Amino acid sequence: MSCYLIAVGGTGAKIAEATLHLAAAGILPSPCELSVLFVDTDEGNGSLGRAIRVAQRYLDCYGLFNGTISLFNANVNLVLRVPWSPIGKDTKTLRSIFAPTQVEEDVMRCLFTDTDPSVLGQPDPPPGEIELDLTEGFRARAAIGSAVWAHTLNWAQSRPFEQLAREMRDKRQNHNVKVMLTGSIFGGTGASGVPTIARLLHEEIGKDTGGKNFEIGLLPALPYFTYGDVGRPGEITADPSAFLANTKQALDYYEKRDYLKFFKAIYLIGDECSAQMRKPAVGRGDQTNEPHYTELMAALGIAHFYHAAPGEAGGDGGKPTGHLYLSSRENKFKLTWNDLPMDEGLHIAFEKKLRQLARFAVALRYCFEPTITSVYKDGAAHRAPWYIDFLKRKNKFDEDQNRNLESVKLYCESFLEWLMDITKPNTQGFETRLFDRTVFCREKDDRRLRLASADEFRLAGLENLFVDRQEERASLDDIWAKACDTKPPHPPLDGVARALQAIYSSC
Amino acid sequence: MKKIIIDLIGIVVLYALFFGLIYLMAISSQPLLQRLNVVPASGSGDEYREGFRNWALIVMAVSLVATLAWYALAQWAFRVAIPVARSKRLIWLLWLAVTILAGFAAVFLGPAASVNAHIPALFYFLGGAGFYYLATILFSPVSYKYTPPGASALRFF
Amino acid sequence: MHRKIRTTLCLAKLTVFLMAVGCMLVSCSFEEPDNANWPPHHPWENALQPSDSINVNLFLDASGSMKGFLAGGPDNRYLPVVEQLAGIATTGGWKTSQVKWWKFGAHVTEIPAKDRVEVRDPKFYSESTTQIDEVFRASNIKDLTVVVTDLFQSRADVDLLSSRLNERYLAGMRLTGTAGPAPITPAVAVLGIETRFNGKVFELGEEDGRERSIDHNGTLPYYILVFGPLADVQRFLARIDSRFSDLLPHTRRVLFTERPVETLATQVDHGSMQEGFSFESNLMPGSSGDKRVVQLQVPSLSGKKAENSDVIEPLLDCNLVHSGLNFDEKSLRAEVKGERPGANGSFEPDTRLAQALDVQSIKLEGNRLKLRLKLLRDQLRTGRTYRFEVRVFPTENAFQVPQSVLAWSLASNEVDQLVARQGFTPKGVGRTLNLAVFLQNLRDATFNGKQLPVGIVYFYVKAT
Repeated sequence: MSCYLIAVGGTGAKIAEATLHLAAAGILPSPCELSVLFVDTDEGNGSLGRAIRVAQRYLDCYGLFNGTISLFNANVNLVLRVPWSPIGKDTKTLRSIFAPTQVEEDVMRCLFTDTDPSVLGQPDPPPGEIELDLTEGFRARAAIGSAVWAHTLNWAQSRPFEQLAREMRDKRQNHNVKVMLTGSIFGGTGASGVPTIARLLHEEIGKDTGGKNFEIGLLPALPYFTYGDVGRPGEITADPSAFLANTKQALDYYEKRDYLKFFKAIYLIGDECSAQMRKPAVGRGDQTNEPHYTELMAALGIAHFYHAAPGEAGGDGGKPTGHLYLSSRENKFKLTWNDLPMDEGLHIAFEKKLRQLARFAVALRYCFEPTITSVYKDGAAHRAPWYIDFLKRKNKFDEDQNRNLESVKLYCESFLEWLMDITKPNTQGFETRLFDRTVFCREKDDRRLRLASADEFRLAGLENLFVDRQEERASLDDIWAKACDTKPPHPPLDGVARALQAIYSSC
Repeated sequence: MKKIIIDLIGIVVLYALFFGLIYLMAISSQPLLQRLNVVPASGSGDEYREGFRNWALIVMAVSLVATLAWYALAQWAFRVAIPVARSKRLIWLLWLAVTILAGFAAVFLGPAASVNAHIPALFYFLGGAGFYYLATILFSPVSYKYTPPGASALRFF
Repeated sequence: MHRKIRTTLCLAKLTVFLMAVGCMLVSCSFEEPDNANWPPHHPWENALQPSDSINVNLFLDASGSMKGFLAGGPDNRYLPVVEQLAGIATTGGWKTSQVKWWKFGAHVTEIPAKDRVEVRDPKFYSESTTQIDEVFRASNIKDLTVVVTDLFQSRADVDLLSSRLNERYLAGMRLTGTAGPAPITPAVAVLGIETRFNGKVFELGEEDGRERSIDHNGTLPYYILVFGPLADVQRFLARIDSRFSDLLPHTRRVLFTERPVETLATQVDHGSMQEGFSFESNLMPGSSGDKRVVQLQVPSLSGKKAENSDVIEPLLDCNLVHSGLNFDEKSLRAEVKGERPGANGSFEPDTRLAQALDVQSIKLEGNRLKLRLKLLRDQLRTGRTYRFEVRVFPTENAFQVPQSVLAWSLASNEVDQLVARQGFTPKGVGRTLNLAVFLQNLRDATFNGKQLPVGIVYFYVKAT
């Protein structure tokens, strides 16, 4: 099966990051080929940069295990190493994009605001919508975004869409192709990009052969966070107070445009308890809204979409046959394991995989990786019997393998950093009962979070990592013992993967 | 739990095998000590071998206690060091030293032999330190299974 | 699975290796010839046992010289004893005893049981001669023969009597040779009792064709000679002692028998250990419980050894028979006989082996015999087993008749003086003619030409 994830905007990037973590945990279908395309005008978006970094780290780890374990078993590839943007250096305003004639200029002014003439001549005059530098995003103006998308997105000429379209057509000849688009419904880039790209995709590919072997899903994220003053008075910025209104409008749009007739599924996720982002910013690197548990829910929705059997409901252009999925939880101010959305049959397995990845990440970072490095440098391998079993016996651990180990460790740190944010939403009175983050993270003076030191971890203890899952409790000593007692499967993996496989299995 | 029981049974079986050696050496109708010309410095051969047997059992009991102590420490007391695992070989060596000391005690306090005295001495150390070494190589808890030197070459289960 | 098979194979290889080593070690074997019936049992290892039933023949010397013993008075120790002899024989502890009285002089005449023995009647003592042969003809060696007599004998009579006693009771091993002693050891006891005497003493030679005699009023010993199986003789004497305990100061006693010890020790303590070898209990096949054998494992020692290495000091019980004879403890000797494995699978004597076990000293301390032997390991070949017998025996002159007994003897060359003086010196104290000669003859007959063992120690030596 070929899966595609087109993540639009900053929220889309965060959801994509969450999806990548689920891919790392082995929660996506197996075998699975996941192609990720980031779409954002704001190339410097902090969330986007983070998501791309996670993707890179995933790619560094992929292939180590050859699919023998669920860890990193999804074949992820980035369609582009940088986000695709409809905006260029020279075409970063509406005026420059459309290069309107005079008549068109007038029409534009009807649709969009222009720079207030009274501020002309002032230093750094705040631009109107027509002159807005769109490289910092569409500022929650879906109208701007829609216009830009419709003008610039050309299947035949825009890379990577041309490549994507060709690829999808080829692949659907042999197996099912699923495309998921995700982004915020209340922002600018996502709100405009998601439905636009989805529609265009359907027009270009979905209509052929009655939509056979081709399914599109949408995951527009409803408001779940808010933020304070971005500190640029007078400028056009995304206004959190408008999120709900934008959302309503967007949902109306989906309804009126019969999106459920053409698309297999729409997943709506949001949270009435909005989280307060720590550092409000307009765009670029400053706009790094920290990860939120809602993105985990969204990623689970994406996983659900990929797992769904093909042809369960396909759009045939007639009556609506797509599904609308909503996620909810039992308690307004509490998120537990039982609240994670997934089919009942798959729910327990996914939970366990997520927990397994979490425990693996913690154990690797705080114990196994430092031990491997220490043994590699200083010897005395007997202190870690699994080292001898998996890295010395008919195997070798050299600098290449050390780099592989470093890659996995970096990924694990990314995962833990993501985990520490999603378990501490900045929502007053809200409690997540998934992981006890005090095991692996601490709060800094500025309320930001950091990974715990080794001493801090030692005091906390691994056995308390899971909340409300006492039956899965295991200390580091238990994991260690299991790793020492594990036999590599036949045929065994080479290099550090053999050890990591054993450690992962022990978690 | 199952593994612990298997390990402890293994230790006991190994102890029984070594006890069989003591039997061959000193108790059987054709004691090996006699055949190997170990001549007591005082007392009759039977008295000497009885003394040897008692001391050998003492040494082996000390060795068994050392083995079980090592096992208990490794199974229940040791904790994986964070971030870098630490070697417990020194503790293993300390218990080995206890068994060696027991061997020396047997050599100097036990019945003396005037001829071939090295044979019973060898056996004290074989039965004491040797048993401890073999038992810990084969039956140390998995987390420390390679702590005894040479274990990684001998133990693959 | 693959790993389990490897584990099993490795453990199997280790086990086979250990077993092979063990078999190799235990497979070292020595030549082990047949040890059946070794060491042989000596009859003297059995405790002396009186007979269950006994025939007791009491012979009373009826010669005229015996009349003087009838002298009255409180110090007459003849009549009370002789009159009770039959009773002692009857109640001596035998299950059944048949007692017969005999009167002997020129002939022996049995006194029927229904008739009383007129011990007090002077007329009883009417015989003019005493034919001791008659006594022997009437008695059996297995019976207890008790002869009451004054033992006043000429040299000829002494020789006769002592030779008869020698032949019947004392020759023993001299006659049987290497066959060993008889199962029942005979003995000759001479119990002398000094008593009141008033009468004539005869047997003082002849003068002018007439037998000389003197009158003697004083004391004179009479003798109870007891012949028969040693244990019965001992019992009879013990009964006399217990019945007449007040007689002891007036008695002299000697016992002649070929068996010097009550019992030959059947248990040997190996004594203190010296370095260089070990005492074992399992070297000799089928040897469990036989404590007569000292089993030694003797390795060859290269280099210097301690000075006292290879020295063995076995200890064993040695209870000499109470014979009343003086015993010279320094007179003990030892004879070593060695055997080595022969070609036919049994042990063969080897005279050279006597040098391998050197007897350094023999001491009798109380009733414990202590030997000191040095085993010369270099005389033994490694890989062989050897047997040794160390037999300890007194020299011929070890036992001597005590002077206190000999003091009752009257030498032949004193007779003339006696007759001339018409009395014994000191006055009133009578002595017995040729008693010393008689007793010496008995002593010689008992011990001369014999090596009577007082202890035998066997060694089974494995030279490793």
